[in-house]
Amino acid sequence: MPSPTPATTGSSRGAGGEKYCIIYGVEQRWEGAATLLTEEAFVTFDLNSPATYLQWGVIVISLPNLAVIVAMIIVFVLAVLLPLPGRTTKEETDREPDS
Amino acid sequence: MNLTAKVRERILEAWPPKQLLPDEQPAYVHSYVYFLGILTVGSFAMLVISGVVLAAFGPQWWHVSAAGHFVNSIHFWSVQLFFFVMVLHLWAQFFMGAWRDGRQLTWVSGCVAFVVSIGTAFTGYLSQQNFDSQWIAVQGKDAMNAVGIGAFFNLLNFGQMYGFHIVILPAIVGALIALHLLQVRLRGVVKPYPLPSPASGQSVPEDRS
Repeated sequence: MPSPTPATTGSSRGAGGEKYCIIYGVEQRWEGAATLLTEEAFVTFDLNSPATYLQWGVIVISLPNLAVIVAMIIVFVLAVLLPLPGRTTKEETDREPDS
Repeated sequence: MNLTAKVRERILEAWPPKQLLPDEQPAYVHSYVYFLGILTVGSFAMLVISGVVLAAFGPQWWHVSAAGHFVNSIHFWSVQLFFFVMVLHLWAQFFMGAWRDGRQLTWVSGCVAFVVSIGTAFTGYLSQQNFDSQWIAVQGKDAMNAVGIGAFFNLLNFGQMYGFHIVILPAIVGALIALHLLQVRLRGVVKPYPLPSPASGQSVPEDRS
């Protein structure tokens, strides 16, 4: 097996073009579906490395968690603003509670 | 009238079929925001189905086989989607004031289902049977001891956590979701807040038909 280059981002490529990743501190040849991705995407979406953390004073959050929160806000705003195609089937607006 | 007939009459009186399975909805329900609740129910169904398969084959299968990895991933990403859309549903119903007009039980059952779901997900992370679950259990046991429940809820006891995760807590979440849906059907969806009239300053109902 060719000696892989030192990994700094959790993944690397060996002399023969093989990809390596670090799982629980053990560097091993990558044989998963991620080999179909480009090298850049492989590094970006490598979930086996520690996350990058952002800090503003006492606020500390990992980049993946921040990305999820931003995605939630975007989806929420779109769900509120985007019109739903099609027509309504009932014009009722005065339904009262049963109790 | 015998007991069976009385029970049937009471059920039909309390839960009329037309309200349980309505074929029409108010005009204001015609929005993507109202997809968030049913998406939560759909992801919960995916969780149950994939969880049953995982429980049937066991930890060795989900760790070493390709099919096991696939179903394990389905279960994992279903819970990500479940919490993603459930929190968005919570935001939407909060801003709509979904507890108004006699819908307190609808709101409370949803909130309690959310809290119990957090516990269910937590015991799921403890049931992975990998280094992550061991780390989480060792770190989390002190919190359980600090609040005095460590003797009854032992994070280091895989059998207990697994039992909580696949039987007790999902049953509670499922029952709460059923109660929540029943309340939504019986009480209907809350009307939007009235919009303020720019001319008079008084609140008038919005015409969204």
